[in-house]
Amino acid sequence: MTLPADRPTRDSATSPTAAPSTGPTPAPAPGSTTAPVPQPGAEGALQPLLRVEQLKKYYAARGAGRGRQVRAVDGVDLTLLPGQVLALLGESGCGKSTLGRTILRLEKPTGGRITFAGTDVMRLRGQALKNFRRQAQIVFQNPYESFDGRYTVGQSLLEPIRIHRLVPAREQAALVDEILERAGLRPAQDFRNRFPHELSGGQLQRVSLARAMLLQPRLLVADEPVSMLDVSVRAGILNMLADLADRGTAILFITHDVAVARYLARSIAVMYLGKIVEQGPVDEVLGNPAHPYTRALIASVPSPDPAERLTAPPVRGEPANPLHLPPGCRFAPRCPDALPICSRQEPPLRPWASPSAAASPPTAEARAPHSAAAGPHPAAVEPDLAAVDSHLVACHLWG
Amino acid sequence: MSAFWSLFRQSRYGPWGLAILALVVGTAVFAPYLAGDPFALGDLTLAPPSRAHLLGTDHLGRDVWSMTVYGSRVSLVVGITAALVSAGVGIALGAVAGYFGGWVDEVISKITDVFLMTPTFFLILIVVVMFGNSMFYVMLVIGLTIWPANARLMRAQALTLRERTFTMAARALGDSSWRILLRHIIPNGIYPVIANTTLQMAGAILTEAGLSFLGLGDPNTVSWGQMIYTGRPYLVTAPWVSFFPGLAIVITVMGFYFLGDGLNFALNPRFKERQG
Amino acid sequence: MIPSGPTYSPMQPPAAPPGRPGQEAALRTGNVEPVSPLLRVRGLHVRYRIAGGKVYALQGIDLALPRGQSLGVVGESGSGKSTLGMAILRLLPPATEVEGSILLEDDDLLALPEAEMRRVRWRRVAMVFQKAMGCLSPVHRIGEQLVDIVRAHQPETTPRQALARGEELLAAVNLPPGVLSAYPHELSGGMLQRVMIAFSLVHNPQLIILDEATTALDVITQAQILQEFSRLQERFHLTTMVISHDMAVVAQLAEWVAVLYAGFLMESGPAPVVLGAPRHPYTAALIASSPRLRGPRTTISGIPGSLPDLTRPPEGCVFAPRCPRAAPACFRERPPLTSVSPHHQVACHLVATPSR
Repeated sequence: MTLPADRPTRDSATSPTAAPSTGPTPAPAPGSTTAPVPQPGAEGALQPLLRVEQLKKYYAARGAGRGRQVRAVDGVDLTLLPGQVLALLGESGCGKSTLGRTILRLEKPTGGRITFAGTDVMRLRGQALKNFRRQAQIVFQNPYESFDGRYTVGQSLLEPIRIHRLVPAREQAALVDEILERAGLRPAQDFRNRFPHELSGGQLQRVSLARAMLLQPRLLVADEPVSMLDVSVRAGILNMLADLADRGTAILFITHDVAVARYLARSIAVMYLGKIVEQGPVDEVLGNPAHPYTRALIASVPSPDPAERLTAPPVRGEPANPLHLPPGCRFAPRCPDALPICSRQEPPLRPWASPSAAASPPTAEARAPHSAAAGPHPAAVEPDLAAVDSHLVACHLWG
Repeated sequence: MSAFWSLFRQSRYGPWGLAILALVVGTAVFAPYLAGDPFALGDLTLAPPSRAHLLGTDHLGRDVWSMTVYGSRVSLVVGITAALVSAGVGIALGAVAGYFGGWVDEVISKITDVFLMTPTFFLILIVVVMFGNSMFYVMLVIGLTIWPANARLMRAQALTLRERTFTMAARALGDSSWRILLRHIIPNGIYPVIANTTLQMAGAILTEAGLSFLGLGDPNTVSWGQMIYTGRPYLVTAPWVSFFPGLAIVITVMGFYFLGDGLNFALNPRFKERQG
Repeated sequence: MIPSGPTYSPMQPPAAPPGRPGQEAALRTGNVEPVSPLLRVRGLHVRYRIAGGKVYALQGIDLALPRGQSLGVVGESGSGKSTLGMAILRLLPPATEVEGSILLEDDDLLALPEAEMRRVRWRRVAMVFQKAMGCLSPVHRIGEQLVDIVRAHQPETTPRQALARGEELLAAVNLPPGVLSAYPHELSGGMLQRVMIAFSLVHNPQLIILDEATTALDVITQAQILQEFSRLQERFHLTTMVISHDMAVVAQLAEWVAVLYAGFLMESGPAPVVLGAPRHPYTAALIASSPRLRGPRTTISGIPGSLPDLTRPPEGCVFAPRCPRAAPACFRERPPLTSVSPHHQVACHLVATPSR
């Protein structure tokens, strides 16, 4: 099964409604038209771009924990609509980076399914796989490690252009210059011939983003793109990402910084030890956190206002060892409100109505898997689309 | 490049090695200007060093000096060719094994192990005995038996390079495995192999000398090992016949070792990062 | 002060010196009465020697840290903040040029001979580093390393006495005594940092420097440690210097804040003033560069450009090339540190002009 026809190259004059351009847009050559690329579900524009179902990625542990498995990603469901920015929030070791890389098939999943624009990602081969790579890109945390230090910036930027033959050979250098300027690196001629180690972290991260933007991807996985950068430099990258999102690229923004997640994303998913414990619209989740871990995270962020002092984060102990996962809810050993059932049974991810909406405990309907939550559905629309904007929690405290 | 040179100059022995090898190469290149015909037979046999024959003559009246000078050509060609063959095979197999892993790695590693376990000298002996002792076979066979060291080095490099972020970035961009191997893995991992190759050149020269010494060399060529072989019966009476080519071998091998030392020092990736 | 003779007595918080306001109140109102400074840095210059030049890491730093209070040093990479901590402990590489004076009470640390400086290290000034694993020996138990530290300055102490002291210190940082028999790799990041804090307290130093001590920790553990350390500060009236790139961390612990950029001091003063109503354009831009978790969502701006070349000190203000309000004078002349109010100093021409 192959992906739908490739996204229009820079030469096409028409761009379909559901796939706006995210890169430098040239003046269309007069008279050059290609048939509009049929986009999946163009009639109901809310077909999910990415669907992750029960994704698992386990590693064999080495060293001290030999013989055991590290369950880095343990049954994650995610949905991303075209142009949606989803923040994946969690601390180090929770599996968020692994999740991002596995979605792009940079790691082989141990179980579960990844569907991109209607196609099973794991079944792609050859040219179809190459097309997928073009549409789903990634930016890494460490800009200096993202490049082969033996090649100049210009040479590294030529790579994707050459691999996917974006423009004919004689136009390639100009395209490199154009993308450098668009990324704020002026004069382009200057930056083109420099080596990665000669650039500052912020500049190099812009190059990294530019490299991804060249392909005009529909999905960008941003794995902690600003964590290693100075504070004053972060805004530039974040605003570039916001710009990309405005132009229609869906972004999976992986971070441990709650404030940054709030700034950039419309939806947020909180991850702990390989599972999603809470997700929903960002203002809803951050304003009304339901899961004790989310609450602790939010309460732990120090404020730059000296008058706002930290109150004790409502959590005990240390982040758990991923090699020795407790039975039941993984957060239970640290949870201040743990119930007996919490250490026996893992809570499923379920919709949560805020206390203001429901005076009584959630009804039996609401407890059922989210497909029933929104009433009857026409067969064509995926049932859990309703879940994209709803607030879900995996916690026994809420029913 | 300039950074490389300055590091190389700082290494203790590297520049010496380069000087020695320059001398040897110069001797090989300018042989006709430096010496007479090495094959010229003469009446003055087993003559000690004199004004006429700087290093004496052998049992056939041939001038030892001329033979030594021309012998450098043979030794250099053998050493360099064998080492290059070894590098070529070793890099290719090592990179593929390390990068792809899985059964590819297992198969290649087993093959490597087989070659490592075999006493190479005997393997060479067998080949030479079976296929003849022309210099060409000697070079080829030496190269095809010493490659496992390079393969091991390259494989180790490939294993680490495979996990680097820029490799993952190349895959994410849609780069094919072969392009990644050629553009990223091999160029970045080749440094230890380069240093090892200079050592292997020295080793090849010694191996060829050993073969010749055992009488399995190419009698039609003038090589240092061959000279030592022919001088063997006269070690007591006319030691110069064997001594000077032996000295030449020692000097040349030392040159390669020093060079390899300097290369190792200058190409060490740790130093590269420090410059950045 | 706490007696620290050969026989250890349990740590007793000393009676608070008269007139010192509680830390909470000070942080809230910004109304701090600086008592006699424990630490005074005057005209500190640090230049690293590298192949082909010098790196001007610190340029003429003037700071004062009152006794029993806390100074936060904020800066991004290249600001020189870590160099400052290292300079105080004299742990800079041998070829480094250091000028100026660092007065700990009445002793100029830069002028002390090495033998005396060794007595200062850890006994009078201690440090908590960013990565504990880099500071602890992986093959020795925590208890053994503690005994080492104790006996470095108190050689007549018996191991049992040292371990008893160790248990006290661990209790002060909320760790069970069992930690003493553990190896570093058996402890989590948060526990290790607490061990580092405990180690820093061993000799009741006059000054403790935290150098990005919580940066490598996850946010929840960081919050725990910040709170615990804040309580330690109050309980033992510690004088501390908190070095961090994170203004929020500094806001939690320090009454005073100094902002460094590319080796220069930009602004210093009470925390609520510097962090709440900064006068220097750099400080203001830095604050505006961080997205807020609470409150209205605003676009963040960041600071355009990049760090200048630290091997070529500028003629004028080092921040001028990136400053949104730079005037021609800013490129010509280096702004001196002027007092905006009794304890608030700013190095900026725009602030110094007497237009108020």
